[in-house]
Amino acid sequence: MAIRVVNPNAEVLNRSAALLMNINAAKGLQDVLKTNLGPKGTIKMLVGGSGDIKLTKDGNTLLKEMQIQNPTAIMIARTAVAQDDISGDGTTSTVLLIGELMKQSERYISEGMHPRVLVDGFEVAKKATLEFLEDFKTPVVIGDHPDKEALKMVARTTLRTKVHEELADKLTDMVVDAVLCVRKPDEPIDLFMVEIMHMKHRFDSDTRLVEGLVLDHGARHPDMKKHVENCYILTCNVSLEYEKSEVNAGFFYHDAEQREKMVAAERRHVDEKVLKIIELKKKVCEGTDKNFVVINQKGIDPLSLDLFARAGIVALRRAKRRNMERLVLACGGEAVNSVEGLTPDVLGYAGVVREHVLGEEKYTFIENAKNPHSCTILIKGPNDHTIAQIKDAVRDGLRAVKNTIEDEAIVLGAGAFEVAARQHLMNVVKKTVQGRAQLGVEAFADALLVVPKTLADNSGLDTQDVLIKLESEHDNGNVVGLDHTTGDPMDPNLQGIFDNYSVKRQIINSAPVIAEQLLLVDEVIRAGRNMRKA
Amino acid sequence: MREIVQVQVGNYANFVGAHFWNFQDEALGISGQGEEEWQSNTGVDMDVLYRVGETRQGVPTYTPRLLAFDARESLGAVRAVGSLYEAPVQPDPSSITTWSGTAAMHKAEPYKKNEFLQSLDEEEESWDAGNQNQASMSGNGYHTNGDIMMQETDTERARLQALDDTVLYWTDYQKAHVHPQSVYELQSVWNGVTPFDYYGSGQGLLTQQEQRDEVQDRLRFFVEECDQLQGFQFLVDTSGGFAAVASDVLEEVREEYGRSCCLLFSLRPPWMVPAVPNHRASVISGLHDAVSLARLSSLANLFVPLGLQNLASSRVAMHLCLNDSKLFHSSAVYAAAVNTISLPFRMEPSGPTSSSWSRGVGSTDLSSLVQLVSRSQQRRVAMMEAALPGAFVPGDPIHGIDLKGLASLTQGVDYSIDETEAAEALVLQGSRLADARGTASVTQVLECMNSSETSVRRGALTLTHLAISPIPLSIPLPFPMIFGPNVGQRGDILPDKVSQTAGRGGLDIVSSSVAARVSTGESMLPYVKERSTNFRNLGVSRSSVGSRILEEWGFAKEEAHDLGESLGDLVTAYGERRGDEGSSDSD
Repeated sequence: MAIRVVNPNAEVLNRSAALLMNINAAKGLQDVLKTNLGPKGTIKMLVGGSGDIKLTKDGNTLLKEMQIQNPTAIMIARTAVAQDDISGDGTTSTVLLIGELMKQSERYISEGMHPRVLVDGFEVAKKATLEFLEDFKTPVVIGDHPDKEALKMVARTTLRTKVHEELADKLTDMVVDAVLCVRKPDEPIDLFMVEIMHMKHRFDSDTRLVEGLVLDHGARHPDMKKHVENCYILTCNVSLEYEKSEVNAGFFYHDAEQREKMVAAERRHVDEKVLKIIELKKKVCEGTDKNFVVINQKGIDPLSLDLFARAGIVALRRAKRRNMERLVLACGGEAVNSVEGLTPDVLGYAGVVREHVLGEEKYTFIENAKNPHSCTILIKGPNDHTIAQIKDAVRDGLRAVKNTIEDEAIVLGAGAFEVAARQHLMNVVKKTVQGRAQLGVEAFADALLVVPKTLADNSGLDTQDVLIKLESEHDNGNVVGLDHTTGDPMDPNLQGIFDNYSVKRQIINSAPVIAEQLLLVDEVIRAGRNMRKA
Repeated sequence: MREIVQVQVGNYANFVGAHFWNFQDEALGISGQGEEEWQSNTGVDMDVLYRVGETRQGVPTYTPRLLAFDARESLGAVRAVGSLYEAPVQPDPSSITTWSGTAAMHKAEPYKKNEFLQSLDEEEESWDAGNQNQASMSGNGYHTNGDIMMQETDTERARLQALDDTVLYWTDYQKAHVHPQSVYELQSVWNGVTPFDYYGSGQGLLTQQEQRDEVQDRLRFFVEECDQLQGFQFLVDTSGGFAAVASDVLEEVREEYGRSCCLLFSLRPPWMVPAVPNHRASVISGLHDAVSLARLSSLANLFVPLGLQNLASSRVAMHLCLNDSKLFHSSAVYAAAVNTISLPFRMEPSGPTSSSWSRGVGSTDLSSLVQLVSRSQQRRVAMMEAALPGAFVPGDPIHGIDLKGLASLTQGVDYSIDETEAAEALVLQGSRLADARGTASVTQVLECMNSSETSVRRGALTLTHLAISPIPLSIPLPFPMIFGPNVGQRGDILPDKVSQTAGRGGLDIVSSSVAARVSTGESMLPYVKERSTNFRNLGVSRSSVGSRILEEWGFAKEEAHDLGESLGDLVTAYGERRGDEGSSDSD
């Protein structure tokens, strides 16, 4: 072999060894993620060498926590993580399906079949399954007033696989309301307009939706009020601090007096900007019971803060850039970059602005806005790892709702789609295929069953029993899924168990591609050591 | 208030940073006590680098204004959130409140705390206990409890020797507690597992929205509370992929705090040239150096590369015994230099009268110093020199101060080049009178500086910022045993060996003088020129290997061209005319 001549240290695996390595890696990864799937899966507590704790029931998070070194496993993991990036869910299912496709193939290949033939069958089956999905999906009417129940069903289905039922149902309402809040007609949904904020609280674990914004900082002046009502909000990006002017090449003062003058002029310049804001405040608030809050993206130095405090203005500095956008959506008005020609039109409104202090952490709640288009999901939990896990769940829930609105369709869950698709492949598609590629279709069809099988397995049910029951119901024309508590077939439509259409499509699209690539490998060469670290 | 936020990116940067914060911690322990005059009032404002906070339990805290980036599992036995704000939680699957189904626990083999960390914990406990019983015990520095120390010296020595031999992680010797927001572990990079040797391997790790938000949030946490930010001080490990991570972080800083000044120290541990040359590897390493310089020097206001290939045998190590294979050793030297050169940012301004000079002269802020040294941003790459112990004041001021001890920490500068226009910052800290005659006063040092021509290096036209502080560098206990046998307890160079053992550390040496200088003279030309030429030859020219590598790193043809341009501009800034640069220009 040529590579041996060039590099005698290279390791070469022939086809059967390469295939074995790929199949084992895929199966290994499947084993790790298998227990994650579904509402009866196992949550994993990962403890690092230094005692750091991570909590996850999410395939995506788990893959990121593993130090995967096997190149095949890395390839699979990358595909699965990409799945999550694209559609927000389905990592575990992707890994399971790849593993199962490899497992099924192993059987046929050991009987002497060429991988190429299998791959041809996979291609046919994949195309047919995608077409079948188009017929199988349940359309959802979105329009101006989306079917809230449909949105909730999808969100609930995914959330119940991440957190326990009670919490899942609570989060479901929150993520649906949040997405509907930031949704604008005829525009793609920008989930970043939903702020996710967290607060660590030993006893309080009351996660809630705030129709407004929660900022993770407070006013930096002792005389500013901690609670104001009926407020005008000025959102701005104006430097209100004394900055030493960055004068170019060798600017030197001739004497101390000149320097003093320069400093005074700079200071005056800042003060003028502050005074313009105070002027606007007087104009709109004088003689009313209204209050005035300034939220600035740039800095505000102590002298400026002092001027504001004396004028009865609450001022926050260094707000997040993203919050500038969110503030305007939540409170109205517009963000200004200059204080020249300020008019009352640029001001937003909030019913309440209040500060909440926990140790050294300060939070500012901006609530009771009129018709807010931005909101905050405030996650509370007793420790970091719990908060992180809820945060992951909330993100998945938000994505599920967004997907549904964009897909305008959902898919029956609890394994119903997979069983139906298998029936379709075996009864209809297989017959249209000539020759041995039929076996490829069969392998693909059987692999699809990994979803109901794993769901049953994780629920402590007998997988054979469950599959037989499900298939016979389907044979009778009833589209059913698995009831994970009884093990009997049930109608996912009645139970409200639906998955995202785009997630399903993405899984069926990407898993076979990777499996095919892995099957067609006929040589593995390991060469080239890392020279820099040597 | 003139706050500085320090950003450390990469493993070696954190090694240096850990020493840096140990120095600060030592300074904190010393201020306000001790017999010598400077100890009662150091003239150094610790608030520049530290923030005041409070835990949930209402306990006040004083922690570094620090954001440190590193790989996963690079912190050894120390948790990323630290232990100041949160007691470690016992992992217990039954405590899970978010899932009612089955739970499984996967536990990695716990790292064992080394003896030094254990002793820190014990000391903290006994300090907490002692605090309740007798208020007389004071300070968190070891040196303050002299009598107790004497009895324990032997066990202490053994413990420190063990530390010197076993340091694996920077957290093994960092004394200072950090804020839970300070340490950021890169999600997909595992220490020692993920290949992370060149610029491309660090590309795109912080570019996704979620990670960018996280970086912004953490920067904001520290910046929001600053009343008058001086700027950012970056320590960057440029030996591998962290160079790319640093450029992502710098871009975030630029975007959010546009006008703030960034001073960047590029750090690199001593390295070995592979015995068997490999074409591809050498192309990669050449491009890595060039790309890192081009990217970081265009984003930072001043780029100061530190890192000698053979530190132990370099001139800097004249009075030191170093082992180049120990990161613990080399990082200590660089940390001392960084600490000294950044001292003027922390010094309190001196008054106009010479009587106020006793606490030091030359206080300035970060951006003024960077403006001066970079000659108003024309020369953004500076060399660093240091002497440890350094700059002794001779008996007769006529002889001038001895700055010949200052040796370069920057690899690849050429002292033989005549400098025509240089700018420099020179900081002398805790200078001693020669021949171990005691501490030199600020006035003595000044007199000496004025009479000598040493500040003007080689008869060139030089802009100099001089800062002098009477406070020596206090050597913390977990400092590696790197002082040579001729170094005295206060950092004097003695004619006879004081001890027979080779290395002397924090137990034997109380303090040392340090001199450090950053400058942007033409001596830097070879450094930038080498990288510019390499880039042109390897990356842009017909060599397909190089251009393909650049593409893999995410630099398309046009971006690669821009990088080449900015390197070319750098070369021009150091006095090379465009035509001299080489045969043909890239187009």
